[in-house]
Amino acid sequence: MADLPDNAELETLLERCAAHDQAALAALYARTGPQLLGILMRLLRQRALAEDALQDVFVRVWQQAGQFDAHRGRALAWLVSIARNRAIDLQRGQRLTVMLDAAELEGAEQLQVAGESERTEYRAAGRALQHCLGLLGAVQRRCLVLAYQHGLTQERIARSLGEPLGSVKSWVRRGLQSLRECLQP
Amino acid sequence: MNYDAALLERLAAAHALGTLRGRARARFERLCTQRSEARAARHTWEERLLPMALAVPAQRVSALLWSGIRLRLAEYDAGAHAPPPRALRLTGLRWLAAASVLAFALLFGDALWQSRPDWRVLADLTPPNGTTQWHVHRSADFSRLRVISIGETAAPNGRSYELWVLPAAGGNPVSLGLIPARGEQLRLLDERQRMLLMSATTVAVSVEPGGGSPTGLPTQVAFAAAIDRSG
Repeated sequence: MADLPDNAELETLLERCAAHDQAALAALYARTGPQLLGILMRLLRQRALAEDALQDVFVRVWQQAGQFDAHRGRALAWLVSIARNRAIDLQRGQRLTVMLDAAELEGAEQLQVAGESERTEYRAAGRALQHCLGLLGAVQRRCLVLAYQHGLTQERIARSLGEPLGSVKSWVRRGLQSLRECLQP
Repeated sequence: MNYDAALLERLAAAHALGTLRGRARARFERLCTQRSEARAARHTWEERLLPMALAVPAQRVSALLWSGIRLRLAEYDAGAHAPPPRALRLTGLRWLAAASVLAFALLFGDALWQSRPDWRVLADLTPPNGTTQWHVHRSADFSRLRVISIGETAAPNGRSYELWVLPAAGGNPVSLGLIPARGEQLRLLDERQRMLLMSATTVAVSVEPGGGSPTGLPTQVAFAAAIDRSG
């Protein structure tokens, strides 16, 4: 995990991007590009494709910075959602099939949450999610991690785990419901 | 469809997790532009799951990547949008910045294009009784367009040509941006443009006041062209 940037700093940079300050976009890229590239590579599995997607992400940030609303969430969540959406679009557009090896499937059962950031703003959320994921059954947790961190569709999860699609859909739905109940303030 | 709070919550969760796909995903994203409670639910779930994204190891980014972004920004700013206010038009240092981007494009442009996804023919834009004026290519996933001008094809009297997609399901044409008078132009499509283009069979060219349609609809349609579906 990279040294996570301060949310206030990112908000300021986005404000400047909205005013068409390209130096601010360069700073934003320097602060968040490595983390976003890591996320894109995990989802797209190919460095060239992930790098191409990262360029798209920052063009979109440039286009849409004025739409960021700090009252609705943290800047990093907004940036990550743009990156994830771009990766999902590319997976679909290029009919990309994400394949995991046995070790990755096994690893997906571990808790995969950033809970030890030096920044308290991320640490608290990370620990809360880690706690709530830990309360789920192993197979539910595995489904959520495979979907979120590896970008697998429910069909692909079912095939990877050798389980019926209906069961996977049910685990995902119940897993999300349990997370919501656990994470609600 | 009647979206009650429970349904919005489920859709937002599935969207943030990445299991909401295809048309359902596009529909929910459209809903988020219309309903604040859908937007709020989406943001809440993106925040909830964020720590899983931040646990993924970061990767080193190359300087060439940033140069590629700058090149795309220059193309974007020169492309599908109304011209900037007069105060922001190229002057002094801005000319210098543009020149440096152009120099970069000349040095590295081929390499960047080579790293792009496959381009497929979308349409040849040919006026009635005329010769082809522009080739339009699309990326395999319909997320980008490349418009290549053959020779010099500026619209008369300071006007502009604009490209439109005609939705297969009917309804108003949707702009795909201005057409360059010379050279070639790359542009990113948003999700709405992309989805429309995937199902459409026809694009059209209109003649507009300089800078593009003032109304969001074609002012004077010049001609239409069939979309090539063989690619």
